[in-house]
Amino acid sequence: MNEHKRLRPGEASFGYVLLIFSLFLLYHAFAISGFSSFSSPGVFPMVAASVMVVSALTIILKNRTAPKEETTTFSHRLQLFHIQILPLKPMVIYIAMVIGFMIVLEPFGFIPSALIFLFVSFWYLYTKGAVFALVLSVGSVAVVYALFRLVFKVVLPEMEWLDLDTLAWEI
Amino acid sequence: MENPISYFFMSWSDPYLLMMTAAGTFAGVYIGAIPGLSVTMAVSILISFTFSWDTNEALALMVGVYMGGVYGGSRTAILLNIPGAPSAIATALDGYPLAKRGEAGTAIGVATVMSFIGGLVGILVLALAAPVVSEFALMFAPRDYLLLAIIGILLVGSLSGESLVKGVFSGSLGVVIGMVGLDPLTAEGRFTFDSITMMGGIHYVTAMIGFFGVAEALAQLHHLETPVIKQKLERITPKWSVVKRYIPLSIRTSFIGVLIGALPGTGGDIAALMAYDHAKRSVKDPSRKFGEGAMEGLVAPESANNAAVGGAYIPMLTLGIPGDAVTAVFIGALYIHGLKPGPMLMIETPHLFWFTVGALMLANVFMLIFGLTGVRLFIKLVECPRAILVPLILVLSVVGTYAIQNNVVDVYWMLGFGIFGYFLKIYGYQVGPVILGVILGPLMDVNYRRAIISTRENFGDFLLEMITNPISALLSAALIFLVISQTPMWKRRTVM
Repeated sequence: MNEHKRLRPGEASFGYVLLIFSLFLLYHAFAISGFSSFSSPGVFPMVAASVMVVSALTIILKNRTAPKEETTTFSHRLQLFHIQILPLKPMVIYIAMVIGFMIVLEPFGFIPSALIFLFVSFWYLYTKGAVFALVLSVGSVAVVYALFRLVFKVVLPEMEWLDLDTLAWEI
Repeated sequence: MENPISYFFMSWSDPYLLMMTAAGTFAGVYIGAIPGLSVTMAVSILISFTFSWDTNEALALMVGVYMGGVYGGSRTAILLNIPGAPSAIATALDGYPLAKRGEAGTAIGVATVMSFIGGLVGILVLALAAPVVSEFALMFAPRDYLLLAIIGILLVGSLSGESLVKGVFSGSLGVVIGMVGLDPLTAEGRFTFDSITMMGGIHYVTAMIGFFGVAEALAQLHHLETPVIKQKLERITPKWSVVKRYIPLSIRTSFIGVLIGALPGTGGDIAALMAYDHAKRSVKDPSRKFGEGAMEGLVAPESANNAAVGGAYIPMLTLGIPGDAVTAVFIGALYIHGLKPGPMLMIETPHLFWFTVGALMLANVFMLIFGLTGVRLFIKLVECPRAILVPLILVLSVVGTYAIQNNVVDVYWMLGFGIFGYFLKIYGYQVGPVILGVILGPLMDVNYRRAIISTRENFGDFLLEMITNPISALLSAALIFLVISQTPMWKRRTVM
């Protein structure tokens, strides 16, 4: 609960990002119905967005009084940010892999995309070799598919360009 | 008409429900025990799979996960000094020193039995108090619900986070997310940016999975190199003489747990810490010094955090106000199954209340059974590396989110919330208030508008009613006190 602890790398900038985001939301909240009446649909969104703006401003002011890092050069702060908050390995690369998984999810379908994603993930994060990653990913997808698709009847994305049901019907 | 209390035994007598409760509790114990997996995360993901299920089956499973998960967190706290759940933070203080002394088995055994006693007390209080609170809550006006919801969000923000202002920001952000879509009263678009996809709103389960599942998984990437600590475990069933010695303390701290758990915004973590503090101050002759492996330091938090489960259900079922992040997720589950938690729940669907109480009791029994058995399997699962867990959590999050509306856009939202949630977490903003805001935002909006319309849009009268009506005045005073108590001026005064 110490309010005056040292800021984490990028924390001060994050406060400004939140402020800009809050102002953007406030602008759009005002656009809903303006100040037409106390019970209009835009009142509560405006109140919530205003609270966000005020909180973000308070956070920025508090951050300004917090103890500063000894090194204040921009490049060093950026370096610290990359080491402690958003390291390229594994964080950025892995987030990119997750985004890739989600992009191919619909066109490729769940089974191939999850299989590739898990294989690459285990290979990259666990570093126990390709065979181990392959066995683990095939096993995992099989369990997830059997449990959720076959037992829980959850609908999963299927290949857009290969309609298995129609194919089976034609055969 | 069938007596609603007969539903108490439904989960005990129906083999399928019995199995669901057992499976949920089993899963909860292990999910709670694996560092990196949280009960909130598990319940969030589970909810999306139970959409098409029968309400009772879904409730039985989730009640089991909740009860088992709160207990499961204690195991890693004892064995690895890593609390599996926030409610097990206090458990680690004396649990880990006990394990270091080679008494891990006894510590786990005692923690299991005390969790059972705590759970029992919590459920009994829930069964007795909820009907009374519900009766009282019928007197609540829309403005009171508005005040209660604001208090709930602020409490979660202030008690669990670094600062109140960050909690307020998170809560307001959640309210804005909850507002996205068409206004339920006028069908006017809010934050839709003229997109048809946005008009349906953002499903709260999508936000839950993003903020809890994905954000947590990304945060775990920082700990991939953490080595797996291995502990030897033999017999864990404790001797009756040991259990008997700590029963009075367990019952005392269970009541603390249930009371703290029943306050909106305070969950098992606060309850456990307060119970630990109580034990430290009240036990004159502990088995060892507190912090060095005192059994009392293990008994108190373990009894309190499981008692808080029953306590947290009281405001959730009677007022529709979640006690903490997990109960917020539970409220989401109830809505999905067409139920509206609040005072009318006890009138319209009393059988559901008694079913929940019965399922909780059953889950408590299963927790005792699973807690005292399966040690070998447990050790294997706890040793599962994070490099395997993280990708699996992400795949389950995708499956869970897609299952909500069979729409890949939800999956994109989930990832967006996940990445944003990661930054929030890393910079000390709690994500619990965001979820409370998403769920309570639309309710707050509707109740505010009902309240202001009832005063014919006279804002002065609206404010006057806040202080002239006894219930509203009490809630307004609590809200003001909550805000003032977080100001630096007040904190300085209390320190002096």
